[in-house]
Amino acid sequence: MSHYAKLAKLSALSIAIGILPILSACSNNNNVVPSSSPVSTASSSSSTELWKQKFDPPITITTAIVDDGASRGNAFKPGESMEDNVNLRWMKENIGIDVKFDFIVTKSEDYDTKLRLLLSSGGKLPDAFRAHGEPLQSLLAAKKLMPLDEAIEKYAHPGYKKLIEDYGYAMGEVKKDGKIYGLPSFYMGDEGTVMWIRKDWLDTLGLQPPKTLAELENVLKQFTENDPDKNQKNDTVGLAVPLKEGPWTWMGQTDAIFAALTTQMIHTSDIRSFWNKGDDGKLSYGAIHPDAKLYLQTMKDWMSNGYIDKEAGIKDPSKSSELVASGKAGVMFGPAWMGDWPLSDATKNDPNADFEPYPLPAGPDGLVGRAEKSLIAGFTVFDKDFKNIEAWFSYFNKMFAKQLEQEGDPFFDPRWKDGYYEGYDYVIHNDKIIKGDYEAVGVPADKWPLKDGRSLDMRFMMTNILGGSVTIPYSNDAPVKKFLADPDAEPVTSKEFDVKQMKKKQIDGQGVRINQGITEGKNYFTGPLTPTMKSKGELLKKLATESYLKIIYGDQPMEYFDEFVKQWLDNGGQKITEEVNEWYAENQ
Amino acid sequence: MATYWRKTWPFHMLLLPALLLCIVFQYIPLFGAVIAFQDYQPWLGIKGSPWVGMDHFRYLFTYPDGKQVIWNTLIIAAFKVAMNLLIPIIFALLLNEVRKMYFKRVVQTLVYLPHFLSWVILGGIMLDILSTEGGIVNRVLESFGLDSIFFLGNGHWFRFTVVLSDVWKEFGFSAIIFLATLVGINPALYEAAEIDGATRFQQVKSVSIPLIMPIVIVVATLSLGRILDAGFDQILNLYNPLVYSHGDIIDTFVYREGLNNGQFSFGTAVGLFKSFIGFILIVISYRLAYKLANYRIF
Repeated sequence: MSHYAKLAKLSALSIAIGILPILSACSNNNNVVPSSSPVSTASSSSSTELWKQKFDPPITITTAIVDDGASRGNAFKPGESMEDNVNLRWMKENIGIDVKFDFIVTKSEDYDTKLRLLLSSGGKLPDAFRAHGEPLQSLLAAKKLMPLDEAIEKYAHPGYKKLIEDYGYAMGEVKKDGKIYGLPSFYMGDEGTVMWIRKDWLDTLGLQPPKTLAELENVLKQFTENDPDKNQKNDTVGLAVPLKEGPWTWMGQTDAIFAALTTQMIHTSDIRSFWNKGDDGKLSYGAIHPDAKLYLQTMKDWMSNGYIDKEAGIKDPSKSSELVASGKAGVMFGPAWMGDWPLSDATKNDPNADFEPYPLPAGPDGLVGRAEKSLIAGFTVFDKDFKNIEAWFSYFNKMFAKQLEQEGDPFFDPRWKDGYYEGYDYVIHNDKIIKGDYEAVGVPADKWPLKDGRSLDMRFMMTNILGGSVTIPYSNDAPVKKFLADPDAEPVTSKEFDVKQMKKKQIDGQGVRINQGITEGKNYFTGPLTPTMKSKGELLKKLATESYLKIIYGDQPMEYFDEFVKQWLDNGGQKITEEVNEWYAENQ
Repeated sequence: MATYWRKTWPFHMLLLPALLLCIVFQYIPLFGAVIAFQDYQPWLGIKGSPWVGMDHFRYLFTYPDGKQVIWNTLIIAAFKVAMNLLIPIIFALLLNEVRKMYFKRVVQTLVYLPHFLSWVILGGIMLDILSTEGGIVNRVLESFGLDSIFFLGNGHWFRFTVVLSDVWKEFGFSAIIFLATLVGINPALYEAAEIDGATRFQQVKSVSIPLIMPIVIVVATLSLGRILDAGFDQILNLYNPLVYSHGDIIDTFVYREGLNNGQFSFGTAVGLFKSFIGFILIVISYRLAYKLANYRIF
């Protein structure tokens, strides 16, 4: 008997152990945070000091975030984390906002998956969170998001309202039935292409910096054929360019080349761009415009003459940049930040390597231009049952005012005047505010924010409920001009501190970009994917990118372009063009 | 019978957790496959999403690139299945003949190491070593007076490169199972063959090969089920617009469609289609194995 009892116990135990993972898997699903939104009284002493607004009792706002612990760098002091840091404590104490994270994941794909799971399980969404692309459209279609027009009108910082007006054209993704469902966060808008050339190679060969496309072609020719690095080997090319994703990408892009030849902006690996506006007010797809042939002919010639990296078609931007870093190519287009990574790597191979930024070349008809990188970085959306958007704006406006740094701004919090938190993003040493390079300035080690003397990247702890960093487009331009005029000028505003942190080459690059004063070519379609884009978009992307490369590589003759355009239109392109114009007629 | 149950029921209970796990995590999710016949929308769920019948399957076959993609998959996968069987067997047989234990172990360790590298890393390395501008492979070709080859930018060479690099990465690992079988062969058989005057080569032919044949059939049968898996992560990291026409496979196609547009139903439909073909092939090869080699796995 006791023998069986023992066995029974044993088997019961084994079942329990076996089931354990199932049980825990189930309990994970029940991890729904109850909405806690007590009715709260907001107290703001007077309308002139809006920054003093404080909520009592504290309001809980839930959110979610991607936190890739490995690559984010120095975001927190030891012992602090995304869920427990100086900013969260400060917010709770001074604004009365208690931030809770519904989930923190390490990859953005996981973030989207989480959102989809919440959607399909009907779980409670975070109060305020970031969303984009397909999950955003699903949330909109499921009517889970809050319309924001009223809240923007009532609570938003006037400067932010103006931004929403100015860049409203780019917010098609979050507009539905005439209402706005998401708040945009912006890019700086300082990534416009400049032309980077090895000045030491120009000097060696006795060449002038090219001002026109024809002169550039000559520079490429000389760089390819005349051994600019004087190593007696024919191992250099002119232009390093990634073509794996077509003419337009985030680094090494060729927008300066097509913009010198035509007003059409061209992109092949994304069906949502570029949609150019014609004289008739209609939108058309740049990659199938007859003018694209001018671009293709130029690239084809350069490729067959060997001026371009032969392997451009199989390289993405980072891979392509290895060519300039290793001293095998002398020209690369790209944003001003390239002055640090990847171009400064060239000096590792050759101490004399000197990449300088130059204005973009003009085409035969005097055209000069570049394409605009979308200024919208993402959208912050709100659960439709979220009651405390006023509190959210209270924190947002503070952050916005801090970016704006305007005299007499009632939202500007004087407690953040010097920086956010002493001992975190700045230290005071000999009555001076020091941000970064603590050791060089002579700050004693016990005052450094981090033991190794490096600076703390505050963006991660400041973002929390905002869903994205607060950036004002083009707000870098004035500080850049200031430091161009006087490299040793004292930084005053925090924007100026940020710019001061840039490498000299980067500031030079920004200067070239700003001073050339180009109106960037816009993408006029900013709506969600149209039905035909969804079903045929991938096919068309593949067709366009493949056809472009085949023509550039000479696998197909120039005449193939017309064949490609016909195929593009027949396989859904015609329908997409109609849908895009329908959208544009409704939303422009 | 009754006494049998009374005696053994605790052991059946011990089996229960595993069975439950299998049902919960392997069989219940199978019902999710019905979304292949729906236009699945996450917020409507399986119950609420509209039914579309075979639309997604039709889409795969009528899609202008559909045939090309399926053909590429079959070609690449067929070569991979064949080579990944042949090369490890040959390698195992050769290594088995090596007398020096030390050398044998070193070689074995070295050849299965690549198995543990991810294609993300290998993709970058291959771009460098196969480069037409100073890549080591083309340097060697040039030193023999041959033209350099654009391995990753030319469709035909691309398929060749994909198959070869996959075999290089996996053959050491696949050989383990054959080596283990070879080690397990009774030495008496070799001794008997030697006494009968068989040479090394004859020993391999008459002892080693027949005795590893059952395992070869098992491995071959199982790998036939993967005939539509041409190696997603490998191709994704190596392909580019220049070789779409020869290198775009079902998985990369679904990845682009699904990831960008969130077409869950379509992805599921393709997955179901692949499983279906794989299932048929396994059944056929299983029957063949039984008929030809009189061998049953189950």
